[in-house]
Amino acid sequence: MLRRSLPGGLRLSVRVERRPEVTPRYSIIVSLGMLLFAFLASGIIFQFLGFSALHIYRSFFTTLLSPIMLEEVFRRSAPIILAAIGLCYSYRMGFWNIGAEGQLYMGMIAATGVIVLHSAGYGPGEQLLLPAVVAASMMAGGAWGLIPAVLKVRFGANEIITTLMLNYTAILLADFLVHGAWKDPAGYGFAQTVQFPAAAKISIPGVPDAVAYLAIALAATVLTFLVFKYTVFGFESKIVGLNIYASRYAGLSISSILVRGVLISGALAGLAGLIVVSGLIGRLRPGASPGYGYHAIIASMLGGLYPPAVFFSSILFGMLVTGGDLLQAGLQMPKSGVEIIMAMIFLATIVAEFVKRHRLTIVVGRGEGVA
Amino acid sequence: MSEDLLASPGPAPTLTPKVEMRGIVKRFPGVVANDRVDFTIYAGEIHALLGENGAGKTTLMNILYGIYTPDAGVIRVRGVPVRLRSPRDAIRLGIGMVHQDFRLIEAHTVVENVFLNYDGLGFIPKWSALESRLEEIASNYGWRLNPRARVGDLSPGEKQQVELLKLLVRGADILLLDEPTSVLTPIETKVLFKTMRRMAEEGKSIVLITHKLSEAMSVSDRVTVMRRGRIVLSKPTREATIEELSAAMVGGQLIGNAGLEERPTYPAVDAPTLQVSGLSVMGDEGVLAVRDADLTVNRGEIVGIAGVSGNGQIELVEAIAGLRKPVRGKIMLNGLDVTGASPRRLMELGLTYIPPEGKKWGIVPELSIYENVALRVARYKPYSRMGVINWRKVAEVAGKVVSEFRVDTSSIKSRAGSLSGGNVQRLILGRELTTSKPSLLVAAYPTKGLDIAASEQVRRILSRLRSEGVGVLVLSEDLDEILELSDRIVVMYGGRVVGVVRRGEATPELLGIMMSRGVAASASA
Repeated sequence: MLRRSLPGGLRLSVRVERRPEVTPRYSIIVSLGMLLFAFLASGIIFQFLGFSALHIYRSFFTTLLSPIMLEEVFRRSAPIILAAIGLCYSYRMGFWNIGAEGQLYMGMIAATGVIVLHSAGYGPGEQLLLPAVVAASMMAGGAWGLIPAVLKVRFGANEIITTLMLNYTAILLADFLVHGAWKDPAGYGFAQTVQFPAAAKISIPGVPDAVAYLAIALAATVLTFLVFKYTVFGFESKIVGLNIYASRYAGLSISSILVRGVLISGALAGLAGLIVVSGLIGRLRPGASPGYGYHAIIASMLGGLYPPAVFFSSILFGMLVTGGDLLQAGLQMPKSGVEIIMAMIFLATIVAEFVKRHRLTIVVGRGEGVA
Repeated sequence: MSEDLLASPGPAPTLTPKVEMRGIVKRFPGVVANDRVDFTIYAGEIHALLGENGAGKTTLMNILYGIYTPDAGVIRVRGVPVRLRSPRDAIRLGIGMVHQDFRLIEAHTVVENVFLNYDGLGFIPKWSALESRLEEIASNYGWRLNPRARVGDLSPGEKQQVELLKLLVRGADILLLDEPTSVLTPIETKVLFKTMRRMAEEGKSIVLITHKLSEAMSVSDRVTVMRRGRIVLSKPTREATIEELSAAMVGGQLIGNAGLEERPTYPAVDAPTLQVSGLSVMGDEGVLAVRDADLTVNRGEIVGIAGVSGNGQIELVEAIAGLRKPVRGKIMLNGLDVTGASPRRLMELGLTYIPPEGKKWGIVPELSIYENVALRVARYKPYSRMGVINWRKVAEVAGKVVSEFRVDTSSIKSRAGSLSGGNVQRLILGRELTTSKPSLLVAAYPTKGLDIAASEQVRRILSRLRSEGVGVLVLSEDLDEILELSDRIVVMYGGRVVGVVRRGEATPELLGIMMSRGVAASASA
C-alpha cells in the first residue's frame, strides 16, 4: 500500500489487492480491452510519425479481409496457430519455453533433409514422402524441445535461457546448410535448397492450400482442447504448473510430465515448420520464418492458454504479419510499423494479466492524524 | 544461556505503562488470531512474549506496529489513545520492529540502508555526518560496525544491528524484536542480549517475541505467554518457573480427559502397520534433523508426536510420507520395506498423508473443489480409463466428500482457494478417506490454524479411523490435542526420540520437561 500526504490535509492512498476470484468473463473483457488499448496506443505512435492512423487501420483491415488477402492471412496463420497451441502445453506446466522458433526451424531443416535425400535418389519414394516429412519435422522439433526439458529436469537449467539460445543455434544451422551442403545446384548460386516436390506438400484435393493448413491447425486446436479438458495428462500438467508442492504430495512424476509436455510443444512447432517450408515458401532459405515462433508466444499468452482463444489470437497475428508487407507496399510505411503493434499487444497482455489478478483502489480523503 | 544477565535486572519498571493494548481482537478467515488480548509494556523493561508458532504473538506485534488494524480494542501509547494505520504512524510514536527476515538492501552500505527513506535527509545527504552519528550509536552499545561496509558482506548478527540502527536513528524507544535469535549463533545471541539489557537501562522498552523458553528465562524482566490467540499467563520472570511456562505454552493446564478414559483398546496391539528403525533424515540446512529414530504404529492405535517445533518432527513425518529421502535407517509399511519409496508407491501400499499447511501442499487453490478431489487419484480407476478422466464420477465423489465431511461451500465448482482453513482441512481429509482405504494415516498438524469446532471435528475423524483399525500417526504442536488423542506419545528433542509415554502415564508436566530438556523420563515404555 502507498500513502502520501497531499496539500490541505488531504491524504492519498493507493491500495493494490489480489482479487480472490477471476471469472472467465471478466478475464475476456480485460483481454479485449487491453487489445483495443494496444491498437489505440500504436495509432498514437503512427500519428506522431506522420501517418494517419485511421487511414492505416482502415485500409489494413479492409484489404486483409478481402478474399485474396484472407487466403494469405490463413496460410500464414497456420504455422502460428500450431506453434502457439504447442506452447500452451509448455506454459500450463510453468515451463517458459521461448524456443518455438528454434523448434520450428528444426522442423524445417529435418523436412528439407528428407527432400534433399529424395532428390539425390535416396530415402523414401513418392508415396512415403509426405508421411516421412511429417514424421521428420515433428520428431526434429520435439527433439529440439527435449534438450532444454532434460537440462531443466536433470540440472535445473533455466529454460528461458536454454530455449532462447537453441533458437539461434537452429537458425544458424539452417543458414549453414543452405549456404553449403544443401544449396540447390541448379539454383543460380542463390542460397536456397531444391524445391519441395508436389508429393511432399500437404493438400486436400479441391480446396485451396490455405484451407488445408487451417484445417490441420484447427484439428490440433480441438485435440489440445480435449486433451486439456479430459485426459489425466492434461489435468496433471495443469497441477504441475499451478502448485509444485501439491504435485509432489500427489505423487505426480513431475519430470516425466514436463518432458512429455515439452516434447509435444516441440513437435507441433516442428509441424509448423513443415507447413512453412513445404507450403508457404516451397523450399528452405535463410530467414524462412519471419519469427512465427515468437509471434506464437504472444498469441498463446493473449489467448490465455485456452486453445479456442489461442486459435483466434494466432489468426490476429497472421493478419499482422501479412499486413506488414501491405504497409510497406501500399502505404509507404516501414514494415516495422507492424512490429510496433505486436510489441504493444505483448505489453498490453502482460498488463492485462496484472489487471485481471489485482484490484486497484485509490482513495483521496481527509486524513485523521495520529494521536 | 548467560546467567550473568539474570543477575543484573534492569531498573524497576516504572508504574506508568508506555504501551497499553486492551481487548485487542484480530480475526483472519477461519481463525481468531488475537482474542481479547491485553498487553502492557513498561519503560525500561525487557518483556518476553512467549508462545508456540501460530499462537498470535506476531499478529499482536504487527498490530502495535501498524501493519494490521485490529477488529476491536484500544491502544494507548504513553497514555494517549492512538490509531496506528501504518508502520509510519508507529515509528512516529517511537515504536520500531525488527522482523524475523531482515529487510535490508544487500548491495547498499550500512549507512545507506539505515537512512533510506529518512525524513530530513535533504537533497544531498551529508554522508560523513551521518556516518559519525552511526559510529556514535554503535560504540554506545559496543558494536563494531563499519558504516561504509556493504550489508551483503555482514554476518547475520551485524545485519540485525543495522536493523536496530534503523530504529534507533528514528528515535524508537519501544523495540519489538520478532524471533531475533533465530538466525544468530550463540555468541551473537549473547551480544544481542547485552545490547537489549543496555537499552533497557536507558529506559527503552523491548519486546522479545520468542518460542524459546530458555531465552525468555535468561533475559527478560517480565514474561507473557500466548496460546491460541489468548494471553494465558503474565508475570515477572523471576517468579516464573520453566515447567509452569512450558505448560502454559502448550496448554497442559486446560487438560480434561472427559470421556476418553474408557475408550476400548483395539485388540490388535501387536499388529504394526508402520515400523521405523534407526532413521536419520537430513534437514533443509544440511544438518541431520532426525537422528536414529525408532517408531512403531500399530493398527487401531493413535500415536502422537510431541515436541517443541523445530526438533525434527516434520522431517520425520515427511520421510515416512516419501517426501524426504532418509540418510540411514529403515521404514517398513505392513511388513514391506518402503525406505525411499515414492509418495505414489506409498499411497498405493495404503499410506495416506495429510500434509501441513493444507493450502500450500494439499490443494491447488486455483482449481475447483471437484478438480481438487481428483488431485491424487485422477490416474486410477474408476476416476479415469485409458488416460481419459471420468469427470462425472469425480463430481459424484466430490459431492459425497462435501456432504459427508461438511465442507461448507455452495458448489463443488467453487474455487478451492475460496474455502476457509477448516473447510480446506475437511476437504483434504474427506478426499483422502473417501478415495483410499488407508492402513496408516499420517497427519501433520491437522488442526493447525483451525477454530475449536473444526479442530474437534478433525479429531473425531481421527478417532473414528482408529476404531476402524487404521494406524494413525499425528503430529501436533498442541499438547492438549496430543494428550486427548494418543494411545502412545513419542517425544522428540534435538532430532531424537527421547521417550515414548503411554496413555495414562502422560501428564503435561512430564511431557513439558521432556520436550524442553530432552530428558528421557522414567516412564518411557
